Amino acid sequence: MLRVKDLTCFRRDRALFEAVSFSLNTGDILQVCGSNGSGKTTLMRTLVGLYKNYTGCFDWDLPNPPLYLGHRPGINENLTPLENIKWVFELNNQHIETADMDEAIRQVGLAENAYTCCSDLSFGQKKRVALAPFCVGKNSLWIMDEPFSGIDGIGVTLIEKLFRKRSLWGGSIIFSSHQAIPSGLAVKKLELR
Amino acid sequence: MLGWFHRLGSPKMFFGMSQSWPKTFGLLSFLLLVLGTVWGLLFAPLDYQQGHSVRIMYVHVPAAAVAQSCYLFMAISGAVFLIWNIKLADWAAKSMAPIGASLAFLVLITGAIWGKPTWGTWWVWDARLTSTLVLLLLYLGIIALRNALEEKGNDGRPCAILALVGLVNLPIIKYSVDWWFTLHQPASFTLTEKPKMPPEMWIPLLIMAAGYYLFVFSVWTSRIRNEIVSRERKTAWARAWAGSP
Amino acid sequence: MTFFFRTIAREFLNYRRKPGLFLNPLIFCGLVVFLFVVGLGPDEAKLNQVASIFILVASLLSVLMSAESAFDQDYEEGSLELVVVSSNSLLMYSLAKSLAHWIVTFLPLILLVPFIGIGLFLDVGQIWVLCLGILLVSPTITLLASVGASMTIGLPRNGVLVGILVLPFYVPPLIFVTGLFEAALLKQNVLPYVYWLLALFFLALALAPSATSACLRIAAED
Repeated sequence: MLRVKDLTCFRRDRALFEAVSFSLNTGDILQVCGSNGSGKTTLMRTLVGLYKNYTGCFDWDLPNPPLYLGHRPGINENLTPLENIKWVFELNNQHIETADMDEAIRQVGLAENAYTCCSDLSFGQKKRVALAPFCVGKNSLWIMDEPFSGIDGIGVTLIEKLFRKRSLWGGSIIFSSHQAIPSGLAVKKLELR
Repeated sequence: MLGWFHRLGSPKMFFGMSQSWPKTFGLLSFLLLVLGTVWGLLFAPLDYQQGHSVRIMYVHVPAAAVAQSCYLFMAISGAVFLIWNIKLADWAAKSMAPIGASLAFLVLITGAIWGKPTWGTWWVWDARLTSTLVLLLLYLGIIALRNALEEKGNDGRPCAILALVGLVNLPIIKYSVDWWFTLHQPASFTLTEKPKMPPEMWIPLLIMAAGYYLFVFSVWTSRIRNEIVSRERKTAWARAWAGSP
Repeated sequence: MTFFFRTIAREFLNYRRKPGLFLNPLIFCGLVVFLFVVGLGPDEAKLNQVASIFILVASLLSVLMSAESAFDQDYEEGSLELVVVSSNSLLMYSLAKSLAHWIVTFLPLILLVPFIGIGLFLDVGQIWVLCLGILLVSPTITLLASVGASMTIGLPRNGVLVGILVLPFYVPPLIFVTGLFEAALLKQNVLPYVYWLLALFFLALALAPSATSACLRIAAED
């Protein structure tokens, strides 16, 4: 569903990484690893079209646009978690049932905070809000930049559960992380240097 | 045509090509400016109303024309950068901004000096002085935006958009300002109409204008060459040129 | 089109939860007028002559302040990225943001104008003209402010920068709206000025959203 060929990304004329090629099939989970400054975030941003300074090519074959979790989680401080989740679905022109939203909120463990403004939430809790659309979304590809950063142990287990469920459904995931994932997920690895 | 365009867009090619430009055009402009100044200040006839004070026209009017041309140049380079993503065009616009700003400033200063004997005050809110003031403000805005962008390490695309928005607005600003202030004498020199001045007056004016254009070009080439070297300092050819290993 | 209205709804919600976003500029506007009055002295005839312009210029300045925060917030929290990634039109997004911004800044201001106007000894007719002038000029002002604000997203000290970039472009609208005030005062035909202000508005409407969306894309992609 995704083929990347000889992708080289530049930052101020310097190549961050060179000639990266890989492909992703339905149900694959790909972990992009590498040290700080190796271009993990840039690769993610390039794939979703937020970064243009690259050579090489990549092409998609997707029934719907990918769901993206960026470096900044995209949570509006003045809206409640529910309103934020709804906005993410509205952006993708998808309808979401109230029951599904409640379910998502419950899964990320924020049921009690569903109606408080996100400005009252901690960074980790905001990150969980940003993860909530992934619990119920129907997108066939997820692109997640550092999903594990700023998240506690329960949160990490939650994401792993999500990943497992997702790949069983036949969805694919690309995520970046510099740390090893503890559980036994079948994860392909792409090392940037 | 496109091949030529791309060759010109390569910093290395441009750098090699423009090696002698600052000096050659600087010398040429110096000769023209000296000729025009001597002719204009010593030999050109006096205005029957304004007397000797009309002679500042030879500094003021070409500067005004060139200040506007610089803006046009900047906007066009900006458009080239936005459309074809040629970095050199961005640097070209960047190198031109301070030159245009200083020329606009020169217009205001000489305008004020001209105003003192003519209108009796240093400053009049007259249409063309006011539009030049706005032009200077636009230049300052673009320079300020450029500084902020570079501080963050971004390229000049927002600057290019600002220059284009300014280009659309300049005629509107000029018209709206004209609407209000109509104190100034009508435009003294246009390309389309036959000038009403005697040739002894407009020939030195033309020489001064040519001198100004060449001066701007020579300063601009030396600025953009500086820019190229500092941006490309890590490349092999720039190191070789600078004689460092 | 639904995206357009959803964006507006989201903006309204945002402003409702943080009223300071649009109330502070209003208070600022009132204060600027107040300072002008203090500087000029309480002379009725003098104040009456310049009151309209004071109120207008103060409102222009205050709008710039709120425009800057409206776009910067999106960038800082990362929702701008989500909008760019989604296949929605950025043009619609910037239009919707400008419309919402215009509604929350200028409608309260127009409601406030009669009160300020009475304090500056304007008569009823002048207050009507002032409201009309603000109504005609404000959409152009908001659109221009959105271009400036989107241009400086995420830049250091961008609050002042927006002012430097945008204020020169306020010259034509300001000139025509003061023309409108003067024509009304002298009982002349105000229609030419109305047409001019409308023309400026349509020009801004045609060009500003594309410039804004281009700047938003650049900001998200940097």
